[in-house]
Amino acid sequence: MSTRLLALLALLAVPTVAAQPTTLDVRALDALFASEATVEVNLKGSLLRLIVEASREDEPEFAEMVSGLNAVTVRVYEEATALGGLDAELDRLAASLETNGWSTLVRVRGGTTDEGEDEGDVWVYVYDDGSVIGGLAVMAVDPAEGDVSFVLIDGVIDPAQIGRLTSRFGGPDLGDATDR
Amino acid sequence: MRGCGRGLVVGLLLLGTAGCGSSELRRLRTDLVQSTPGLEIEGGRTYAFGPLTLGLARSILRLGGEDTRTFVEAARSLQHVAVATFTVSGPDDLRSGRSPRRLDHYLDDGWTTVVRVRDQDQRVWILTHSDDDRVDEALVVTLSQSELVLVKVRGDLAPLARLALAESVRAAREESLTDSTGTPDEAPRDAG
Repeated sequence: MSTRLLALLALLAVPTVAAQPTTLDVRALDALFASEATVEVNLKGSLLRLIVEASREDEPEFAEMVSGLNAVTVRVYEEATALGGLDAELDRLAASLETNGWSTLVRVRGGTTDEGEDEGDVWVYVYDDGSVIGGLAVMAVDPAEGDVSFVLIDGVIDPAQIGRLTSRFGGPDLGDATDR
Repeated sequence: MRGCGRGLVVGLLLLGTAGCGSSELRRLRTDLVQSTPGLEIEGGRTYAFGPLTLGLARSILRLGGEDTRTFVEAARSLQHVAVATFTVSGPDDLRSGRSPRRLDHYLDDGWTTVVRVRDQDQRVWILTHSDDDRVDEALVVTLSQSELVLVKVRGDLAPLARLALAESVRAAREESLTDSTGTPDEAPRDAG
């Protein structure tokens, strides 16, 4: 599963009820990697409402999903995989999510391709408050590019909509998988 | 003959507004040069459109093709547009530069950084300002090793955002098809 697909999956997540789970402190990530992120995206408040307004006519399903979103945050750190102790730090971040009520949805431990390339690690966490998924966090390590990426969604997620939308936006139909 | 006249009018419009370039964008350009070691401006143009010139430009552009008309419709709700493009000679690695201090003033004035990219061959900043819980201004700065583009718009940005979203969805689908087929030309036209 590519990190791009996972990032897309996360970005398409849908909140319908305000939820404020304790998540990763993005400011602490800059300190962790001792540099600014090479890619930084901050979507929240009036900007998310602008996206809803702009997509309502042509992409009503997407607009409905985004309409309840509280925030979408993305950070990508370049040349970060060479950082000493990275695995331990990411494990620590994952553990902090679990301590704050997040559950592992997907955990991919990088294997090696037929060509001998490291496939990288992926963590996907969800915040499940018992009736709905209240948030989604993705951490992905791409050894080939040397990037470490974080995608954080603050809001309620409908797994069925994730599946439909990943299919609609060109990815595989994850509907069956997310229904399980 | 008619096309020639249209071109003349567009040219006169551009010439007529070139001198009214946004001083704000020029300040930002100067700050960007100071904050990026090795960056040199080789030439460029700055345009600023207010309500009157925007209306005139829309009237002229409406005579264009379908894509132009779509853009004109999307731009109806804009009150002010300032655009500056510069040919630049940049360093091999743009990551070494710091953020322009001018952008800190925007943040101090309540603007928000929506997107920031610090890549070897490209730097991007997208900032927005909201009033009454609506995004009413946007500033886009893109710097590559050959070009600097500064855009500042004020007004109702929803129609333009709709256009941008539609374009990004189309691009994402094309990229996905390219990834799966290897060549975009082989992609089925009705896929996605």
